[in-house]
Amino acid sequence: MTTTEATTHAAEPHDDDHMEAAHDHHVCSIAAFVVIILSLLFLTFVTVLVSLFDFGAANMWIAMGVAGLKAVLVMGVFMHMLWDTTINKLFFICSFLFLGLLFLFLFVDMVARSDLEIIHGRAAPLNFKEMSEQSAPDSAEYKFHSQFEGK
Amino acid sequence: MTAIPATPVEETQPIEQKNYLNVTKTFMSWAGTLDHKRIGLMYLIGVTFAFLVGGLFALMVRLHLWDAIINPDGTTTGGIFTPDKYNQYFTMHGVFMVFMFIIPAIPASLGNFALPLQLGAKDVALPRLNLLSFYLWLAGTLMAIASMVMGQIDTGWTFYTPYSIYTNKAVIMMGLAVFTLGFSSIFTGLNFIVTVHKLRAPGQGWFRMPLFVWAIYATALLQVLATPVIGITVLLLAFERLYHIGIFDPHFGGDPVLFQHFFWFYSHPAVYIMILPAMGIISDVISVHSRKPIFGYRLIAFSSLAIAIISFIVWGHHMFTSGQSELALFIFSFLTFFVALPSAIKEFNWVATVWKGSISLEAPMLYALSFLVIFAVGGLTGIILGALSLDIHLHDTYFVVAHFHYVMMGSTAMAFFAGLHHWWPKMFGVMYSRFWSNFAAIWIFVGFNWTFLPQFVMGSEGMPRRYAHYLKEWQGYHQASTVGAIIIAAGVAMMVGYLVMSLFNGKKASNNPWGGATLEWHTATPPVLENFETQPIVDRDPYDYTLVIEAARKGEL
Amino acid sequence: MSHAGHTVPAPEGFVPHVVAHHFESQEQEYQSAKLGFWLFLCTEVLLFGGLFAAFFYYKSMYQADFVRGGELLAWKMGTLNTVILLASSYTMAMAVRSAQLTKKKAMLNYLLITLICGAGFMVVKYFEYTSKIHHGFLPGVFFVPNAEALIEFPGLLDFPRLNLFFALYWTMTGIHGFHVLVGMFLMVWLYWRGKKGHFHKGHYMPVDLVGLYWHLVDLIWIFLFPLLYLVP
Repeated sequence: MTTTEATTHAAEPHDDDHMEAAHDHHVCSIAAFVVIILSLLFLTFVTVLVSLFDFGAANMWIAMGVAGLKAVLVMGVFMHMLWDTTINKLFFICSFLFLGLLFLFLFVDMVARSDLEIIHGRAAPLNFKEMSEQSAPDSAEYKFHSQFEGK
Repeated sequence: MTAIPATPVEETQPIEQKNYLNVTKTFMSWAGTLDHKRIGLMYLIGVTFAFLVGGLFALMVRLHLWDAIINPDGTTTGGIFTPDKYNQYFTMHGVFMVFMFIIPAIPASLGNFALPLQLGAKDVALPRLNLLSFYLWLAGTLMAIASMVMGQIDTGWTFYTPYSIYTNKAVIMMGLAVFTLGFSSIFTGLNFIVTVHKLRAPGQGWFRMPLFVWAIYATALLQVLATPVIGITVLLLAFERLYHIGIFDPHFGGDPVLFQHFFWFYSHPAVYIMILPAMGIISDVISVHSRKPIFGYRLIAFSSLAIAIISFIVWGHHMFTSGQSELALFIFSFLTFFVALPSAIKEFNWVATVWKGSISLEAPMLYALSFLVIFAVGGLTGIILGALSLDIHLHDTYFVVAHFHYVMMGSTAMAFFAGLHHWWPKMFGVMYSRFWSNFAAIWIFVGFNWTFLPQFVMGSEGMPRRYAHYLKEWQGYHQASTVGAIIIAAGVAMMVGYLVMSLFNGKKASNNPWGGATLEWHTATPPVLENFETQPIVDRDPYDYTLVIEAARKGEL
Repeated sequence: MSHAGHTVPAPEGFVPHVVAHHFESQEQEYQSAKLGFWLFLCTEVLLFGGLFAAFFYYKSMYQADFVRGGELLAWKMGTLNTVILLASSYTMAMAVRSAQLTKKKAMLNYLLITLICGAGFMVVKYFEYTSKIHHGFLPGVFFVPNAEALIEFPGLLDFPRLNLFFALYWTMTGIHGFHVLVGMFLMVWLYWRGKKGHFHKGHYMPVDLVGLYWHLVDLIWIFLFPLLYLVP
């Protein structure tokens, strides 16, 4: 790897370049903002309206779906994501994806947990005394558990 | 390829050359510095202090375990501390080592120093944030020390509930310390991501960056995405202790397993935050000290990203006996095997790099070679633990302790030493003693294995971890382990000794004592404040040594 | 290479911006700061996301209790707060736009309105919280509905896990409220600097970044509101 002499950057102000550069950033029109805020207010109205009805299991999905739509509007226009660099968009979207991993595996754990069945009364609680009696009444486990009997 | 000796060359320039170390000398110019190299040095001092404190706790634990026997009738003999104190000391060992040493060590000290140099930049993208990161690290460390004074904690570094809710110790203060240290880590990672994206030198495409930069970048992704979750977890734990909000407390309907999910969602990526920068150092060091281009550059680069991504979906393998659903257990175990693939790719590529290279056995290389051996063992034992059926027996035994010391100490810490010795001449402009550095490297390798190899055997035979007393049958292993710990301590003392000595009477180092091809070796030693006299332009690979060899032949190195 | 950063000229009556010395150009500085700030927003997503995960986790564990808990919340005040925050997002976006076009007076006005909206949010929150405290709906172990609440909301004691619902309610809205307060402080800071003429079409980055922060606070509330308040 060579290091060749590059033209050193003198301290001359790059007037027009920098004014241009700042100017090149997208400036949103007022109309766009107005359309978005009206849509958001409308969707808020929808959110409250929908909550008055019971769609069973779909309730959560509908509520989060509408919220997601509002979020996309805020992110895309108010936060300028539509006109931003790819990398900024990528990072922000990815954070939701990684959060989704946390949700996904927690959900997997919850859905299949046997002790939750006990909590909700769909399964009988484990009876350790009975279990160790069945395995080996003379076992150390049985003796260990029976000392807590009645306490 | 003929071997080129890496002997330092006497500088012909005047002695008091202005570099980043001596350009300003007041206390405030250091305390308020925005220079990444100075910040890296301050971090270096800080993490060394944390390493020594953590090491001290480790010694105390191991000395206690020399003869801490529990007899069949329940009475105990030997040992130095009460079980309560013992719990506090191994907890402190873990907390100091994990949060104050290993997670920040390589990125914040060596990464801060070398990354902008390797990118041909004048500094990191956000220098004030960099300084804030350092002060957050300092504040977190002071809070951790405060919690030591205020009552210590005895929960283990994992703070599992419900014990951590009810134990009458300084858990909240330590939780706040972890929160603060977490933000230090987040801001460092954030800074590095922006620097790598925006401040590369002209001509330096992504695939002309040194692999150390790739590694730090992957680490930074983890730091930014995973660390907030431990932040919210310790905050919730603090609220739980203060107000019993019930989130993790079964008395109030909460679920302790949820705490474990939240904790390990961060702490598993955290262990990759620890190992990825280490792997980056090894890639650089092995290539330079074998004077051979790295084998499989793109594979190693992509494997760093692959490790980062896969690390987010395997955290449940720390919780195989926690009471998760069987479905979750199965999925986590299955996914854990995948994380071995990118690590194995790196290991093979490093070996292929060394093969038929022109190897110079200096201290950096000795530590790197140690890494290759130790990481193989550490990684493979990780796979053993990832196998669900085996882990049921091995969980919470010394097998786990040995595994993570092999990867955290034997691999990450060794790589840290490798990087320290590799960049020491660049950082301070002096060379350390060749004899003592080589001797200490071999000494520490021996001491390390002496300490932790017996622990694998103990663990597989059933010796549980975190026990203040053990059955007589384990005493031989424990005593061997304790002897090893003392050997390591002596080795570390040696290292600190000759490194500090080198600052006072080490030989002046040349700009490129090892013959490296990356940008940091093509500027003054120590570097000037703005890193480069003129903006470097990158027009070749970071591991292309043709020009370096030419320069050495002409005697210009 | 110069040690001092180069200066970006400003329109008449405004303060010129000095680019930090380690950047090659103002554009590099702007893009670096923006990327850095988006990354910070990612950490906020993960931070709040953890709380949402805990909420979903316990909601599916204790469905009846969480439905009852939602009924106890003041959804009208929540809706009002939603409208206030959405409006403040609009005014914040307009403030950024004004800065981009060097319209100082408009920018200051929009910042002021955003600040007032934030304050309005906190005022509504104050009334909401005092009502909860009055009824004894506090988090965790302090959840002790008083006699008045028990008459107003019959059958509360049939739901043993309301303490957990309110623990999450207080924690999530509390941390969100803290973020609103920080945002208000940033608004004041922007107003103060803006009055001195620091922001113009040559340099509006701080307004842009605070705007992103404020929109994130709004984003969080957009998800928080239906989840907590609106009982399906």
